[in-house]
Amino acid sequence: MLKLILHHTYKLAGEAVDISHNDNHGFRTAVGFLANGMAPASGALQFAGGPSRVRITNKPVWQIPRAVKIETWVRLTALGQRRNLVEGDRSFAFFIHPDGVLWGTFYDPSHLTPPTPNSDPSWPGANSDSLFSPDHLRHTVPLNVWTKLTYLHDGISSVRLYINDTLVGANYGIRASVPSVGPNGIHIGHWPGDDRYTFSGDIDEVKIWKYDPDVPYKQFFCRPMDARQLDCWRQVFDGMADMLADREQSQRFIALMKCIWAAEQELVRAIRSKGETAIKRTASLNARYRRLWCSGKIDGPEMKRLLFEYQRWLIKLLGEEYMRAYNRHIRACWMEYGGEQSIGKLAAHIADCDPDVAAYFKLLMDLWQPILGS
Amino acid sequence: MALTREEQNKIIEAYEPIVYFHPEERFFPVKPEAYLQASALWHSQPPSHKKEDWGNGGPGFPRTPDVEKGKLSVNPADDGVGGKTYLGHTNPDGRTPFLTSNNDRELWLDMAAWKDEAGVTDTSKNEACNVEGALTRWTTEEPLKMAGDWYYAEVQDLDTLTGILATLQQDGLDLGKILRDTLGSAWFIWYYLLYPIHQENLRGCEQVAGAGNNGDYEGDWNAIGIIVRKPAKLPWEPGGTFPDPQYIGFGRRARGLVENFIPTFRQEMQVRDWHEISRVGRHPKVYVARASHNNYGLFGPQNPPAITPSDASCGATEKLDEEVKKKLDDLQDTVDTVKDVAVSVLKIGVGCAIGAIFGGIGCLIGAGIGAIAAGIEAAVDNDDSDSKPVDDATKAETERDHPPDENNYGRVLVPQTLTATLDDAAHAQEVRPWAETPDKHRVDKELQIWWPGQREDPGYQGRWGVMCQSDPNDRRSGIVFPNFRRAFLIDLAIHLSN
Repeated sequence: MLKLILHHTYKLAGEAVDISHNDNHGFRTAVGFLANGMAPASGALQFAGGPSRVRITNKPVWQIPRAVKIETWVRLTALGQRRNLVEGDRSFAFFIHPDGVLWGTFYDPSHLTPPTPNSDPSWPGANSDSLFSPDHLRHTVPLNVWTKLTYLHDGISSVRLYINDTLVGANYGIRASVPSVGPNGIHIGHWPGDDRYTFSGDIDEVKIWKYDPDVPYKQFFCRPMDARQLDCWRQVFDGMADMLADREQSQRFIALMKCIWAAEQELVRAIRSKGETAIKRTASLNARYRRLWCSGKIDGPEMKRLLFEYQRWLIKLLGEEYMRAYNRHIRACWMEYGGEQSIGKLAAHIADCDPDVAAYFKLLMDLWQPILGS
Repeated sequence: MALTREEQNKIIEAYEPIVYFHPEERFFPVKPEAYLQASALWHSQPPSHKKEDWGNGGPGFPRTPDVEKGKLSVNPADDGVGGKTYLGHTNPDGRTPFLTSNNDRELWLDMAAWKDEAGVTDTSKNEACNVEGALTRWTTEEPLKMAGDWYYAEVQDLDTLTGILATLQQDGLDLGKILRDTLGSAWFIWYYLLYPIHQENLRGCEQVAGAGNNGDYEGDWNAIGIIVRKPAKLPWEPGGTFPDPQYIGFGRRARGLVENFIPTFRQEMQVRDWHEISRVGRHPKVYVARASHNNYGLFGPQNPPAITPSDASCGATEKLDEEVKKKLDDLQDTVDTVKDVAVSVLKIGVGCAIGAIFGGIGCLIGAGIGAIAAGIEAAVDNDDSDSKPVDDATKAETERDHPPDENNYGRVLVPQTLTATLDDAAHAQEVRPWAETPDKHRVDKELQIWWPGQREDPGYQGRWGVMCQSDPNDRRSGIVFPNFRRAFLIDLAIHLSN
């Protein structure tokens, strides 16, 4: 899930004020101010090639962004060369090719992701040409028209591009997340290196999101819990802290987490790499799951029905054998790194102090055990 | 031309706020000099602030403060007289040991010590401030009882704000030009309020043992900012009047944890157009939230600054956060993994435990079931949607700040001219004028050494409340005087950009 980390409107005499409260204000160089942008009095910046740019300095919030979403409203006035929209130094790049095709790439120096045709192998991604567009037609950014452009790297399996909210390019074969932004920071309408790819035209608004690193906690603790339940979970988290603090246990514990994380990432990638329909259907199930979990309805008929639908969906999408393999992977991690002796013991009291969670697991057991077997 | 002291006094008086407190409010704004002189002064060693290194003494315990309670003075004439120490005392080597606070040696005040313990010994916990002790002091001790209903105010114009505008320019914002273009010449007036204690439950966690006081700290500064366009004919000139302000900023704060486990104290000044707020003439009505002392332009429950992850878990993950933070420097990729997968590992662990207990299927198969739960969790976490909380009216209500409800006010502090005429006085428990006359409330950095200042004249840079142990998110230790001016200018820019 994503959180907004930059929002420029350029309404205040063109000042690059970050209204997202993340202090990602921008330094403007050689840009003009246009009082009327995509709407009257909305404010916009005029880029005239060369040194025109808005530069945002690097800050901790740009470390390990994993997923990146960019939304911007632009009026392109000239092509003839690559026109940069937003680029993070050695991290992500959103630009318009000289032929008007929209591109979104990211830095993958280990070449985990297969190369994208006509792109540096270290910068894979997607574009709005026929090879990546859902309708197999080439889509270009129009000239002299206010246009909303969107880049979305989901952090795990896809880069998707949108023109005016219509999907125009997608690559579901991504194998790496967006790395940390380099020392040159983030440039709007300009390349972090030099003046060669500067935008020509007007930019009205820019929004950037990243993966929210706190989302696992936010999601888990959104459920209403009483004092006993919370204390119960606090003990488990404290136990994990003790394991991390212990020199001998911590290596094994971290190895267990890495092993499980890898398995989970593969599962999520397998789901999301199936394309747009799979992503949307999963998002719909996830939204229902969030609503039920966060309202505390985790062991009733609604959750039972949802878990059943989720199970049917995963089996239809990935197959029973895939789910069994995923299960074996996790169990192998568990055995290799002593999960039962460490985390299993820590969690032993959960059934007593948080019976709702125990009931939720019972629902899952009834559904999945026949498929996963023993 | 710079404003004279008399002109500043007149401006301060003209826009003096009317401040409404909740009927259940227990702490009211006090005189900083009384607060300081009632406090002990300590130092500690950042970033761990282990109590073994607090103040003087040792090796070992007990630890003693650098300056004992009752011995600190803000009057230079007291230095070395009767065992007193001047806050601005200068050593022969030129150091100002009771003003200078930095990453090597941090200063902090101790006004009412810690909950259930006055000292720092090998067995003392020193984990929370002493709320009840502070209340007792300010309601029973004679000099402190008389030091209430107070604010300090300062007036600046764009010419005297050049320092702060220059630092904003280093962040990319040329606000000086914008302000000159939009306001021409203007007065910026800050009203500063110091409360002995800030109380803040971890939101939505009131029922959780141990979490209820997780955001309490000693020495709570807040502020109200007002911007007035300077009139062509000045008010003290014949025929001149004070104009209505353009904007007002309501100080409020968010404490917690941000990216990479960096504790944050974010001072916000929510800016409103003057015409949007309630007022009596040129005096704004400010509604103060119960216990947190966040300021609002409206009565009734309000949404506080953004919730932090620490709030979300009612502190349940703080110890884990602390351990992860320790590994931040050398294990960055691991840290990322730990944050991401801790909940998943737990779900697998629960599956294991439950499988072993009543599933009749053993831990390993139970763990496999837990893996499904973890997989769903991972799919949710990696969704493209916004991570804003799911709407939950009940939960949202418990997380709100509580300024007084309409027509149900506790104490109301008013300009002296309004004491008898306040329109809603009948709905207040008591209406009191601000103590003394407005000229006594003007910030004078030459005489009042506690205000943080510039490089040559640093002022007191330390924290205004006790340091607390086991406080990884820096929620319960005292705060330094917040940079209200910077916050106001940035939030004004945000307001004008929205």
